[in-house]
Amino acid sequence: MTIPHQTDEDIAKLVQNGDHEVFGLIVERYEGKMLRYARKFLFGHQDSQDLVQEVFLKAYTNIRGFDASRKFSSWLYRIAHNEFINAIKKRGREPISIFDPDTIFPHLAASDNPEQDLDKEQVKMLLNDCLDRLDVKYREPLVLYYFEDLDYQQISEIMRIPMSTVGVRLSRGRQLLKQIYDQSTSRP
Amino acid sequence: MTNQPADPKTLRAKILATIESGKIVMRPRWHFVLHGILLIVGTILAAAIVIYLASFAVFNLHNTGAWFVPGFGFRGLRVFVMSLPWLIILLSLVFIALLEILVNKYSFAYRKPLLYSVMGVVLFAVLGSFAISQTSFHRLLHEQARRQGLLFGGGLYRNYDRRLKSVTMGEITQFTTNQFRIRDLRSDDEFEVFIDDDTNRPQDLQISDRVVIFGNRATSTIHAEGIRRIAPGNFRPPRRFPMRFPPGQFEIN
Repeated sequence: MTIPHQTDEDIAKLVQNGDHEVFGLIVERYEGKMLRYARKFLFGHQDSQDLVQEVFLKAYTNIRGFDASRKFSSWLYRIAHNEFINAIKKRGREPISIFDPDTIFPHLAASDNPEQDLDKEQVKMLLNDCLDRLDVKYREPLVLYYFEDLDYQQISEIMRIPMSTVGVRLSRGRQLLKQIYDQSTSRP
Repeated sequence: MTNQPADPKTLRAKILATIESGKIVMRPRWHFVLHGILLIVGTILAAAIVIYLASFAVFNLHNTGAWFVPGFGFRGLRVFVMSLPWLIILLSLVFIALLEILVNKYSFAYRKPLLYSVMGVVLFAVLGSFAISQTSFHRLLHEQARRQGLLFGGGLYRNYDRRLKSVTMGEITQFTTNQFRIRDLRSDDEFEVFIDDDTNRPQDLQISDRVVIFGNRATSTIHAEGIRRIAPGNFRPPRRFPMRFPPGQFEIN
């Protein structure tokens, strides 16, 4: 098996054992995804490229802490999440609450049906147009779900929130998107 | 891995150049192992402190007799609230919060709603303190502290070794008209207990019954506002008191 066909986890193992050259392959595989995540989540942030570079450098520094039996992508997205949240805090334009009531109580998983009102492409289109008007806590799961194609469990791992909360935020995020869209189209 | 020369402007090239320059280094595995161990040790330590403090609070309430007074109406409830070891309770809450924070570092906790882990931590503290209060753990430490035999923490037991003026635990030794005598379980002193029609008490008190008397204690008399019988158990009060009287094993009639 040649290296380009190896899984992320196998490559991570090689890097852990000291082959830092193959880390370049990780960068190649995830550069586009990380840049997209950064640009959508941190819309209008001028330093997306620098932040993504920082994400990869942190990933390299901490790669021996990665458990190769788990999913590498979730681990890398978690590093990116932390980096981007810090950037938003530093920018100081959007409030980020440490404590969110959504994470306290259990929610019915059935209350969320991703394709209930809008199809995926519609949501992506709306999301692109309304990113700046969405609260951080709704923007991030929507970006991860619709643009990064991650599932609830991965989003839960990345954001360190219960899976039921992921569902609630996606559902509310979509409702907000619809409201924003309806308001903007009803204006003369 | 590709063998093509990397364009120095690409992110890949920049990152590899930074790595090769030695500006960043990979953290060693032991760093993460140590981090994991410290998290486990911290969690266990916080859990142990929570149980210790919560069970000490229960022990202290039994030891002072305050545990029994909420049954004596509003005044009893007031005495109970006033005699709670608030500093210990506050410290317990601080460590419960710390334990909750540490537990939430584990995926089994953060994947579920916060309510579950909070309930788990509180249940753990309640059950743990109840289990410890059923043992002689605090009583033995209390005795050691009284004899100045505790190297660490003796002050805690001595500082909280107080008596409530309105609560006396004793054993009935003699009956007379409208009064009886008790031997105080803590001091071995004898007291005359005066009762009247307003005294809230069981009607079938007998000699050798162990009772909690709620009412102001004078030098050798107590005017009882309420009396409760305590079922015999295997509690041993501090060594100079020969009675057996278990914390956590009282039953109020």
